[in-house]
Amino acid sequence: MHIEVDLTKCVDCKNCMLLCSFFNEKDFIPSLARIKVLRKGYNTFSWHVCQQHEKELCRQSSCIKSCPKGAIMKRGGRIVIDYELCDGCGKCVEVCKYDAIFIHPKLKKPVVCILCLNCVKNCKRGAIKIFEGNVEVTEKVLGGKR
Amino acid sequence: MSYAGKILKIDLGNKVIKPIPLDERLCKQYIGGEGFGVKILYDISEPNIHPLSSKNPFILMCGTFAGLPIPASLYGVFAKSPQTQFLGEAFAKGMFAPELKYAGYDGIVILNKARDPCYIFIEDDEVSIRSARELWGKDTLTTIETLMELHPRAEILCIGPAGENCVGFASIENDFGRHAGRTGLGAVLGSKNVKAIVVRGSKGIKVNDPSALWKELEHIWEEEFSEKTEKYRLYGTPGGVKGINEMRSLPARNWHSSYVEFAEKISGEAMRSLVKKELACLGCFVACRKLLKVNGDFVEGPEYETIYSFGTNCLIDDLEEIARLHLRCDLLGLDAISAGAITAFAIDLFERGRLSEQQLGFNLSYGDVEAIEEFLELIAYRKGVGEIFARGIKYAAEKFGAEQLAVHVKGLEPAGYEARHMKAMGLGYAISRRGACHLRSGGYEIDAKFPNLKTQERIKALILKENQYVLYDSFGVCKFMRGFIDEHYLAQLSRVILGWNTTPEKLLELASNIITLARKYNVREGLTMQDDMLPERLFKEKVNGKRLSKAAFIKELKLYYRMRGWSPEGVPR
Ligand code: SF4
Ligand code: SF4
Repeated sequence: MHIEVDLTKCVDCKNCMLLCSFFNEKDFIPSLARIKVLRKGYNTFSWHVCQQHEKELCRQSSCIKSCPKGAIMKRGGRIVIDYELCDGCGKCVEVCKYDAIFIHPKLKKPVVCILCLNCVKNCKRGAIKIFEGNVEVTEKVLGGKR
Repeated sequence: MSYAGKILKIDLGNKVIKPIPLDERLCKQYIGGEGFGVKILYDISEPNIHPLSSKNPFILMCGTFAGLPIPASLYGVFAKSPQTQFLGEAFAKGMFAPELKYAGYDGIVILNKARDPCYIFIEDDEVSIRSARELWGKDTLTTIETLMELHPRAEILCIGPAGENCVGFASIENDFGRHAGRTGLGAVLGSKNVKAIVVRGSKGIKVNDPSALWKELEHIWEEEFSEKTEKYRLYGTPGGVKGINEMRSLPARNWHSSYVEFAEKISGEAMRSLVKKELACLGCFVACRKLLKVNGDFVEGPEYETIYSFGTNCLIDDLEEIARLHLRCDLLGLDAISAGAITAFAIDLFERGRLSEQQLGFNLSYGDVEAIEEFLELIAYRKGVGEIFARGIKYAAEKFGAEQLAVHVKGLEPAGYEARHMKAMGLGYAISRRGACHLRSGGYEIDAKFPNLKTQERIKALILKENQYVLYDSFGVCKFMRGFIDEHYLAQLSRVILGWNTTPEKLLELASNIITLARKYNVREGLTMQDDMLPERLFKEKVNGKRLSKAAFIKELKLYYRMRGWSPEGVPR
């Protein structure tokens, strides 16, 4: 299972990020959200969230393979990080093509989407969708230069 | 709770940067946003300073609720206005205020002047003043893009060339298309040599009662898809164009008319076909912001007010052309309402032979988009005759001996609502603390919904609205939510979010105190009843068969003073 953002529907309100951080951090703080919807230019929009399905693209460069400690694994379709094994080296962050895993500033270890689906439920614009199995990833970036 | 807890004080003169803890009493009396801004400005300003001198402080305050998943992402900026010489204040929503709170600050107070062009960089507790020599002279969008590359994921507010050149109605831009536009505070930043403020935060915001907030969120989200916000959701602010025109209240041709034939063509409904993406401020599903594609370019906007200021007031009947001028104002960093209104005034002068081709270097007439674009450049760079207009409509009117033609109160041009047809709006323009502004009171709504109120009732309604609007600007709530957020609901949210047990009555009283304090500031700056007068033309010239009676207006004004508890001359006791 994985989630995707439809940028043609998304209005860049960042409610998904606020609720994600609220669920995972108990605070409203979008920069710590596991899902990210960003406006990178006047007309450039992008989204970032872990694509936790067995896709060719993701398997090749996956965080799981990159971890020298074997701390990242898949359990019941979700990425799980064993924080006892992880030493925070950040290899996984480097290889993630989706910019979806990042080092938590306080934890000093990586965090990633845990598929709690809070964003999906609460995007009232219906821009976040759940997919089962191997589905093509929709456009990750909308627009271009101004 | 919900407050970040600190105000950042930056002295550009000696480069001392100091966070100051937020005073609990300030919160309980002045709420946040506008309340904080007015109070701090009143307290720290020396009377009668030149707005562009280093003594004029520049204050930025976040709305109390900014940073939460509700449409309340506002910040306000405050200083003595170079456009009106009275209280200057302007507001914008977007990501800037939330990010500043995530960095740990409820506001910024900037004192003195930097010697060289600089920008302020804030990352949590690290604050620095950095050189902006490379950025000086750049347009707003290029500035934002350049800074974004330098500081990924930061939120940016900046000025354009007009602000650098201290144009009287220079704006401040954030989020690629949100503006704190009115009263020329971009010029105050420019006078301090500050090109931009860049902020990135990693602290969170807490609320008092998270589970109660969930319930409120459900309610707010439902209303964000109800008919109360439908117009904004579908068409953005241009959704109002057709209706106001039908009420014969859409000012046109430099206020010589109040109706245009081509309203349909420039309406929000017509704009829909150009919309490429809908955009929202933080925490808002309404998404009134529309990104258009116009001749290969992307433009955020135009808003209702630009459709008035350039569309009907300068008689441009093509949405794409209006969008182009809207973008030009954005890039130069000009307030698009004032820019359009002063352009219409200049065209009027030109048509009457009071402003010549020789002075301008070109012909300026209604509907001539190219000439208007050129005229805007003259103003932004203070070239030639642009120097006179760059000082604002009041100065220009005196220079050309054309006070009779200029439409403004306190030097600020009104928004797109005809006062001769809208009496509550007329009084609203007159008594607004920042000059002829529609958003201090939203008087037009009273006129639209209850056109037949008796004088006293009308003023009572106006005072209530004025107080409510101060609450929106203090809590930071978007005014487009006024259909379902009022003082009762704000009191409720205060309990849930802040843990503050307050009542709607108390909130209105606080708002009223803030308005009186703003009045005191203005009186200290030399404001008299004369400054509250509407432009002469509205008493003399008829539009659609209507003009205002001066005697009746003065009576209304005095009654307003009395109902506010001020002296008959409008001085708070
Ligand atoms: S909540 Fe939905 S509309 Fe808002 S930013 Fe997230 S995906 Fe976009
Ligand atoms: S309604 Fe428009 S201005 Fe108000 S918060 Fe939403 S997007 Fe921003």
